[in-house]
Amino acid sequence: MREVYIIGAHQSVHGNRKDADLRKLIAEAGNPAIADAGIDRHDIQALYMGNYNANQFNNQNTLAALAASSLGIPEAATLRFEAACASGGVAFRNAMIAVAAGVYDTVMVMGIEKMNIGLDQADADSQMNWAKSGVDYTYESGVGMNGATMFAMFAHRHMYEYGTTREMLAISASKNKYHGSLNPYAYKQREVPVDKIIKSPLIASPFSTQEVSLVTDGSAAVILTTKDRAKALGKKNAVKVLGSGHGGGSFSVAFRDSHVRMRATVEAANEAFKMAGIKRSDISVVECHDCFSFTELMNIEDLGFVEKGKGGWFAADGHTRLGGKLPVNTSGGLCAKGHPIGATGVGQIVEMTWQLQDKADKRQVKDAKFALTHVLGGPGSISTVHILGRGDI
Amino acid sequence: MSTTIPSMKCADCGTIHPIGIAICPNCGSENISEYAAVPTGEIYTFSVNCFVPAGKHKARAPYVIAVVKTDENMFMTAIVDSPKPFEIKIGDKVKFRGYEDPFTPIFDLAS
Repeated sequence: MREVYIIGAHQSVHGNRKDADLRKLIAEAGNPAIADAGIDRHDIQALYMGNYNANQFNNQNTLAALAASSLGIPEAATLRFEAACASGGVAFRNAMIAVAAGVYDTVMVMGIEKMNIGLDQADADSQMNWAKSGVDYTYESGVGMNGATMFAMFAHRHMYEYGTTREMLAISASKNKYHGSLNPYAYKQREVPVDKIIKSPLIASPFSTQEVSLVTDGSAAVILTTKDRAKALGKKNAVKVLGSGHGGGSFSVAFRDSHVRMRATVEAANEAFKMAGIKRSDISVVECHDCFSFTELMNIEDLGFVEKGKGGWFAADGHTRLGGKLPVNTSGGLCAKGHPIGATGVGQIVEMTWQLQDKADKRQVKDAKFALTHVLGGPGSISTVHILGRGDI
Repeated sequence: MSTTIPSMKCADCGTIHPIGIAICPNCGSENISEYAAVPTGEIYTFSVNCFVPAGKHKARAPYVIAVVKTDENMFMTAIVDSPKPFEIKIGDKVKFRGYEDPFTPIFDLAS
């Protein structure tokens, strides 16, 4: 296995991007990532795309090929990865494997989702069904199961078993709104206090409208290459991919081994840490899949940073806030930066790359040495974890 | 109220699953056949679905979606029909009413 480095990273501004079609989103992430890498774009041998559902949202399949052609590299080998909300993480992992295995020397990983479409293009019922098609259509979608109700059920069980409180969820959400307020790429750049989060209308109990991931248009791109190539390019700040994990879990919300723990996350984290050869306590900063306020609390337990059941207390004590023991979701996460589904996993890599290059501006974690990213797709069925470190070029 | 829940039981591992499943999600066996399951159980976890802007459940909101654990340890995603959805709690006893469509089980609170 060859060592793999990130030499270019960028993302679009996230939001309700009425001004941007798919090609504009491709350009906003892709071209600056190529410029950041300092390579000739024709050096990119393959483009791997994380995308959840452009075929329904935008009537567009084969999105990786569209991206390569749009960027003027139609000769690149292209492939789209669909793993619901984990699509971007899975695309990144497979690109890393391709470079590590010697199949390619230089690969672009891109993630895109354009979810905000008007009612003149599709009725609300259709749009709802497209968004929730990552859960079991036959047995669970029909009762009204979607991301919010699914994770809300995990939250209620966690509160029942461990005493996690409604306020703890809101504290975590408010922390991410604060982080988002510092991020010029975030959809929502405004702080929201805890009491306002709790008093906002419920969307799926216990979650209010301030605790859910945002329907977002956005894109992100990174460029991976070998150590030799990074060295030849003089990329002293290239970020090293130290570990990668890909875990699985049940596709059923009802029939599974646990409703307070995501097996896929646990397995992905264990695999990634084993590959990286570092300890949980070595990690300086985390981007994890906070699709809902509660999810972040469960994630930090499943990733092994906090004892099971203690995530709420860890957040309430301020440890996950910038300046805390383990800053989590410095970008603002899915509830403030936004959740353009296929782009999310790649966008996390961009944020952590910037942290390890001291380019995170007001969100910078001082002396960050190791960073971790985590996504979760479907009903907790798919998770990837990646561990990155400052380069040693 | 229904006296049983039309379900599937795996002859190889013995687990019980919702009606129509052709392959056992516990062991992968296709040796699975229809089974009349006991109609009682409890709410294992739940959420009150409050935001339903469109679709067949729009008029029903706010309503309870739950994972029901039956007395035979079958786990089902279901609707629990309650006039007071915000008073639902984990552990509440429920009884199967029927399927609203082939795959949407409805439970009532057991009195």
